[in-house]
Amino acid sequence: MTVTLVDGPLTARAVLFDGDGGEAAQKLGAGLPTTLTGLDRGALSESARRAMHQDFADVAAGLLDLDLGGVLVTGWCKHAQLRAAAQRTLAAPGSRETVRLAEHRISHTSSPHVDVLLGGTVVTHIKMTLGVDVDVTGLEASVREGRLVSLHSGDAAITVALAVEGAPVARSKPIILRLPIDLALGEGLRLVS
Amino acid sequence: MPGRVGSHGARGRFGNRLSGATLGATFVLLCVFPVGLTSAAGASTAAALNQEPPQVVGLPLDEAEQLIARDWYPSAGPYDLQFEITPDVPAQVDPTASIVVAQEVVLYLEDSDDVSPAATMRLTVGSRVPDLRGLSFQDALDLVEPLGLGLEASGVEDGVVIRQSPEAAALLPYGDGVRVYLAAAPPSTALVPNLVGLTEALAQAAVADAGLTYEVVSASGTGERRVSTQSPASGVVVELATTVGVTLQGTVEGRQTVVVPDVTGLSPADVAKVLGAVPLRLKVDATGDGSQGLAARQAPAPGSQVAPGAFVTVAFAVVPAPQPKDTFPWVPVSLAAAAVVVAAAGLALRVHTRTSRQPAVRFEPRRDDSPVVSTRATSDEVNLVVGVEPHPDPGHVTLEEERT
Repeated sequence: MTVTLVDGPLTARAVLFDGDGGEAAQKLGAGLPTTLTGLDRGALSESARRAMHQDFADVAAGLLDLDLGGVLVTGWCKHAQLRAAAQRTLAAPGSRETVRLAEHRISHTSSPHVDVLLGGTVVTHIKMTLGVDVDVTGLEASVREGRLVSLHSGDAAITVALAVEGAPVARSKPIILRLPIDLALGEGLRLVS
Repeated sequence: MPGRVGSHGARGRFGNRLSGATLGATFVLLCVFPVGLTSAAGASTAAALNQEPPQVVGLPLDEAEQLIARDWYPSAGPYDLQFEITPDVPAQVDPTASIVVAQEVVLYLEDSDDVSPAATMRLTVGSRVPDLRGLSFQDALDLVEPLGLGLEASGVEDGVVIRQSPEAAALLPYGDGVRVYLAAAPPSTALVPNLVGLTEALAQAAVADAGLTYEVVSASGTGERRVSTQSPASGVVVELATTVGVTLQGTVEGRQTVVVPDVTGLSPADVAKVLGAVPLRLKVDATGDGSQGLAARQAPAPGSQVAPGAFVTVAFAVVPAPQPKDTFPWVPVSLAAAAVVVAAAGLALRVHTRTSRQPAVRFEPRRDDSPVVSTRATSDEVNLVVGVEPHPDPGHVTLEEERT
């Protein structure tokens, strides 16, 4: 699958569920652990259970709105070659450097969680684990005045995986993001302060 | 005739004047004035010499000498005039190319009868700084060395000069250095970015950032215009400043919105189908009967303009099934059944009473803006709030610079 980034952020949720928020909620709802389903018993009716599952799924899906562009930039800000170019161009106003980077991988890991409350008391705590791997090849980037201003070529293969309470819920097939995405960079992204 | 001394003989005659024997017998007043001052010092110089010395900075040395001889010496009055030149002209420099980069007058006023007061015009010679921008270090060095100047470089060793100090055309004494900063040479070619699908503003920015020239070949339609075709195609390597022509196509709707359809009376499956085609998303209102029955109400209202993909909350309600048409002979049977009904009434009443005492739990979504999404259960006997509270985690990003 090849994605051309036009505008707007590309999120982990979009990659994971092909941009289908409804599918995301459905899968996340299905991934609810048995500890949560224990709440179904007792006073809660079927409609209450469904409403709670829906709320959980909506909230959990929102936690997956991770901007992958931000992940890439955070990774590149750590890249020694780009940082060196940023320092040089910062010291020389008006200068511009083009840097060709070797194949590299940028990874993101986060562990958001959702608390389930009953009568104001937290009755369970559902941990999610989001993992993103981006393998970048053939990237040629321009740096000006300490900022990453454009990406001239290269591909980014993105894989996103999600687990709920340690159990895999969804894993995307690698999608290829065809660079350049320089159009999203605006006035450039600051690489060094 | 006034004498001329080089830097080695700079003290020349002055050295003799300021020897211990002479100094002891005379009162010496030494004044040094940069020429051209309009201050009291400059006025004093002019008054002492009857005339302001000529301005010779920037002139070739030969021409400066001629000017001084013509305009200054005749006005010397009692002064014994001379001039001195510093520093030495480097061996590799053509002496006739020397330029005066600074000048000053030194006055010696003496009250001794046997020695005339003296004035010296000190000339500093050097070269005019060339424009070194765009040159490599070696090329810059090759340019400044024959001029008797040095080069102090910093930055990228194999880069080109992007900044220099002093600027080009400044005057610098022999032996002084020009400081240059070198940076990586800018690329002479650029990769054409992919513009198709972009708004006009973004496309322009992308082309400019790539060092290329933007040109609209044709445009049609109204509303927000986006690039439909481009030439050269994306990914092609071209010379910098090459023109990239684009064709713009307007979106008739302008800003993208969709109209919410009326889904009341439809089954959950049909509602999902209708909304999905717009495209919109269905959210089941928990205050209804879940996903059973028919759509009883919706929000936003039909006809509203919303962004594509927005949620439409629909409450479904179970509609009682219609009674089947009966052909049963009710009249004869009803009389016979009446007794049974009366007998059963007491039991039915008890059953109904017990049922009505079951908690009638109803769920309503919370209406405030709290991040906690909750569902409230209300009845005379039960009042529970079930909520889910998100806790985002910014996480961390790692970089593996070299993939093998």
